[in-house]
Amino acid sequence: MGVTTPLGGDLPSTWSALLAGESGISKLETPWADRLPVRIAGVLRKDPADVVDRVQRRRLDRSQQAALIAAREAWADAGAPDVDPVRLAVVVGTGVGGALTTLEQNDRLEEAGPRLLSPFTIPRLMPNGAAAVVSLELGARAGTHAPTSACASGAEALAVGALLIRAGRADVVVAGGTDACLHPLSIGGFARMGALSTRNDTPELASRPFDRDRDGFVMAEGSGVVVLERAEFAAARGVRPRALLAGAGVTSDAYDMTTPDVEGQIRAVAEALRDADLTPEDITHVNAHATGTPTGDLTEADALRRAVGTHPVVTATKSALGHLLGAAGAVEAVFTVLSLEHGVIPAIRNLVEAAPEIDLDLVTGRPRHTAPTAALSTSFGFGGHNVVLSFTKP
Amino acid sequence: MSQNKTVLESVADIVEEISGVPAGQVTPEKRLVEDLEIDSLALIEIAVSVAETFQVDLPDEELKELQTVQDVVDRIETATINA
Repeated sequence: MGVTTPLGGDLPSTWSALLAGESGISKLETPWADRLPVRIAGVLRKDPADVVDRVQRRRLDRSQQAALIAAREAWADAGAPDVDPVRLAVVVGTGVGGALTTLEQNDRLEEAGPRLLSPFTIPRLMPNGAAAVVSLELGARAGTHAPTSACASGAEALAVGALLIRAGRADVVVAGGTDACLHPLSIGGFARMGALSTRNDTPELASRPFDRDRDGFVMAEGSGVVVLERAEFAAARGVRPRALLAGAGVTSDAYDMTTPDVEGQIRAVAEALRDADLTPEDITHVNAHATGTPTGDLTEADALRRAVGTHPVVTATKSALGHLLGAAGAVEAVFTVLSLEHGVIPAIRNLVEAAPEIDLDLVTGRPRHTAPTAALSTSFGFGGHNVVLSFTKP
Repeated sequence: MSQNKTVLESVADIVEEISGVPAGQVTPEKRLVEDLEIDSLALIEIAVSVAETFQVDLPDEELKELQTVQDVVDRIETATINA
């Protein structure tokens, strides 16, 4: 598994900062933020341009650089499996792809004319670009896919990866999500919907999922990637899996473009349980989507209570990282696996007093030491996308 | 463009930036495609950088004619003198 996030440039640094209760949210120190109603975000702790080589710095969009960094870490962490390239697939989802490239090159077009456009404009902006970069890096030839389901993209990538393995189309799938689109247009657009927190003076306190005083989510950037293996393939190479991706539930609301539907979320949870042959009682931990918007958190809390119950230990890691958009589901799946593996569940930052409507066992203050054996990670996206992943301890 | 640098030195810097080949190895006789592994899109990146650095626009049809580092230097020097 590998990540690059506002808490750290890799998984060990991110996980330890998360358990320590740190915040990845800061004031945007850039002139373009001055005119915006929202001037805070979760900026990558380690600039990906400083990690990749100079050619990749020019040829890859920031979101592609982040995915490449996370994929390299995941691949090394998995011991670089010796797999036939035609049995290795890649699924990297993204919310908006190379949006920064689109905007930057459009500025260049207007200012300098078409002859000064980068010849890599198109490969940098296309939404399958990050998946293709990872495929090129690893020599994966069993198919490369790029699900786009807004903030559920990263989770959907893992769901698609599991399908590919079950369908016999790959033995190993490198799956994850990426987004890096901090820009006045995206921040301005989300702010115009009223979706973002406006706590500009106290960035570390702005992202407060499930808290009574939450006022919206905080945009962030990053990537998370996992290596999925067919169980027999992992066993044959003598690897003990960190966790089993036991099932996935994917539903769509067909209800509203941006307002979530509790019924669609409940169906996704139920499907994730059925697919994994688990009962609600089996689930002892949930890493919630919980972005910190006033209505979104209540809808999810209601869905979890009705579909699973009030017994699981629930965390909301966007409280520390902010919302990584199309990477969120993949990064949170990684955290869910680590919680299963290590028996510790990160606390929800800034949860001072839970909203009165919420009836869940929320982790506050400090990490909860417990030993979950089956857990869910939920992800929802604009467009009515619901993706719930179920993980079990091997 | 730095006044202290020769055209060759500036071209070598551009090639290093785009292809990763160290500027010291970008000598006049080196062939762009065969020796420096500059593919068709990288060649366009070089044209973009040349346009920015020297204010010399290399038309696409001329770009294809450029075989070596010296060809690029000659083309820039011709355009700069004529300008």
